[in-house]
Amino acid sequence: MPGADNPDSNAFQALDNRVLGQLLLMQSVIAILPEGAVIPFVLEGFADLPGVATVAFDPDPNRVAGQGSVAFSLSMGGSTSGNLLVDVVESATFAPYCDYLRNFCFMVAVILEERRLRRLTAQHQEQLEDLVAERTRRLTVEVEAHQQAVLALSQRDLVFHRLVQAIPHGIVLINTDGSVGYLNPAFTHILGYTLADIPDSDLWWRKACPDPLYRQMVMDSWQRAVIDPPEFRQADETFTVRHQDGSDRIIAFVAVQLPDQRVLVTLDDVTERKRAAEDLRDKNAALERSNAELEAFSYAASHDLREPLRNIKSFTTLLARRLDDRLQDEEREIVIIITDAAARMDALVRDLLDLSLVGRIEKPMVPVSLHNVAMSAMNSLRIQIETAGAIVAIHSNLPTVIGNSDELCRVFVNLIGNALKYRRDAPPEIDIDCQADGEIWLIQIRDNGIGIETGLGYEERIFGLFQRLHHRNEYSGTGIGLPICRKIITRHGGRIWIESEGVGRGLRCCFTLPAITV
Amino acid sequence: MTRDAVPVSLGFTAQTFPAGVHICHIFGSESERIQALEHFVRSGLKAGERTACFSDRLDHDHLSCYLADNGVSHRDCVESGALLTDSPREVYFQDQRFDPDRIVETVRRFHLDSVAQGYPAARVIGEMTAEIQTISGGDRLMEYESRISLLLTDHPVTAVCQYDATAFDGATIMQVLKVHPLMVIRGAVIHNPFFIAPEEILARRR
Repeated sequence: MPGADNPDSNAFQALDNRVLGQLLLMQSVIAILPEGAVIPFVLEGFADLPGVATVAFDPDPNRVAGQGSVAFSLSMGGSTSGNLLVDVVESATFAPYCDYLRNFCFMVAVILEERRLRRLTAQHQEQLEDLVAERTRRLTVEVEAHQQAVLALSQRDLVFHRLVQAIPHGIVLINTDGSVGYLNPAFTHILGYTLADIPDSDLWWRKACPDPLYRQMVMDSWQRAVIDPPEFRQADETFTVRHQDGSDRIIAFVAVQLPDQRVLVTLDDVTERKRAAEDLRDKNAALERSNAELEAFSYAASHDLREPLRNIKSFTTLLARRLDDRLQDEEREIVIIITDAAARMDALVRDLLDLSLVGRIEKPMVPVSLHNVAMSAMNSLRIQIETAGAIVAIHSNLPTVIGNSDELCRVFVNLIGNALKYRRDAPPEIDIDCQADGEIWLIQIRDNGIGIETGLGYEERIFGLFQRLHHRNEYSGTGIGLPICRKIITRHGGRIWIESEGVGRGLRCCFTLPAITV
Repeated sequence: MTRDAVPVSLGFTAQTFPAGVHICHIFGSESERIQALEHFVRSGLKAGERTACFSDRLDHDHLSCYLADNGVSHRDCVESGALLTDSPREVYFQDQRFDPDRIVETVRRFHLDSVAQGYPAARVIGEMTAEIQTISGGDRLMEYESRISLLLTDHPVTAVCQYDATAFDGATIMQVLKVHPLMVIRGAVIHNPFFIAPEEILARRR
């Protein structure tokens, strides 16, 4: 501080007060300045101090001030912002203010440090807020995704729950400790038990299979049948299980091991199905026996009927010959009627015999070319074809099938013969074609004949025994051809029917045969 | 015309100052700026002085309420011409340039006009915005402030110049201090120890 004995003491004191005032004012203004404005503000303020030429800021606190310069450190504790380098032109004038300036610079350092810390705090706060905002955003996304997943899961659970509740198959879930975790309404419907009745699987086995030996056998099968990992499989074994009401039920089941070692069992009540199958089997056997007996009867009857018919015919002819000159015209006509009736009855019996013979003798089933068979049939009808002036087209796509060539030839002869017989005035046109339809062949014989009237059930009626749509005076025949065809085709595993678009519009006779790989 | 000795209140403290003082207000926040402005305007109008206010962000509703609370009718003052308001851009940066000659003349005319209209005194508060640092003629700011100081000796308009501490660099703030004899700092009016006589400033420029 300036001494009291200084001759310019008063003037200096005034000057001293001015400098102190400047420093105090700078301190006040610095308090509201932004951090970056402080150093330039101070440099500009120091420039007017007594004895000072220039002032500079050196951010390097370790640099030594040059000759004629005084360094004022802007440091506080271990933190420093640099040095203010004051270039002094009048040392004596400047020297009294050094302590003021040092204190002032310390104060500036404190303010700068406080500003720096505040800035860092603000930056950290901002970073923290950014992190919190980002984390909040991610959490929001995660929560939304989780909520979506929970919603989807609950919806899926609902679907599965409804499915399990509604399906007609029994479902039971067995925990690893053997307790029953769940059983669905179908289980109760099939076997009568609720979860309260069979809380554990041992109790269930004892109730379901009271006989210990049978129970052990079923349980062994069940253990073997547990599938892991789950895959679709048809239940291949059935077991008899006791219903709560004491009746026996036949069930088939599939057991699946879940990832948590629990076992999911689905069971199907096949009692009615089994009984129906056995019933059907019994009825089929009875039917086969009946058919065999009927065929034997038909064969025997038709064979035995022909003998008296031959006698009627022979003796009527003999009687007519012996009474030839004594017979009146009317009596002669009667004789003719008797012999015609006998001949016709013989034809009927012969046809009946033919029908009964189809399938009676087991003929070999071998690969047969339907094309060859059709050609053979056409050859055997050559005279009728030529007489009628018919055109018969046999397509080359007729397949080879498994069958009996004689019987199949008879089918073609019958069907082509019908097409020739039931013709219109125009020459018959007959087309024999084949189409593949899945695992069967569809053979069609189309003609341009008289057709049949539709809507009257004639399509099925003409397959009846001795059924005819025309009087025998119009068209000859006994009405046995189509029944024989049906019997042959049925024996070959196929089906036969006819289609027509009406009278005068031709007929389409169709039959199928299995498309067996030869 | 010479300075008379009319004592005026600046509104910041109970102190009075002779009319025509040139004061600098360095503010650090908007609330601080508004508070100083309202106090200065209120004390001027209350004393019957003609008062001009150049501020971009003047909330007339807020000012009106403040004045009403202090027994002054904002509407009456505006209608009578006692309170004039304008934007700093219109006053300082007309034609996109800063022209000290024109502004000094405007202040002079303002004083003459106010005296002619019988006002006992006149006062101005204006914010020198940061646009001065980039506009044409902005480098004449110190010259302008010094010439205002000189003008006020003959035309004693009490003037407060507001500067935003956060909008100017530190060196400019210090230069601004040096051309104002009085300062408002933290609500107090003090004599500025950095003040350099306007003649010296103008001489340095020459």
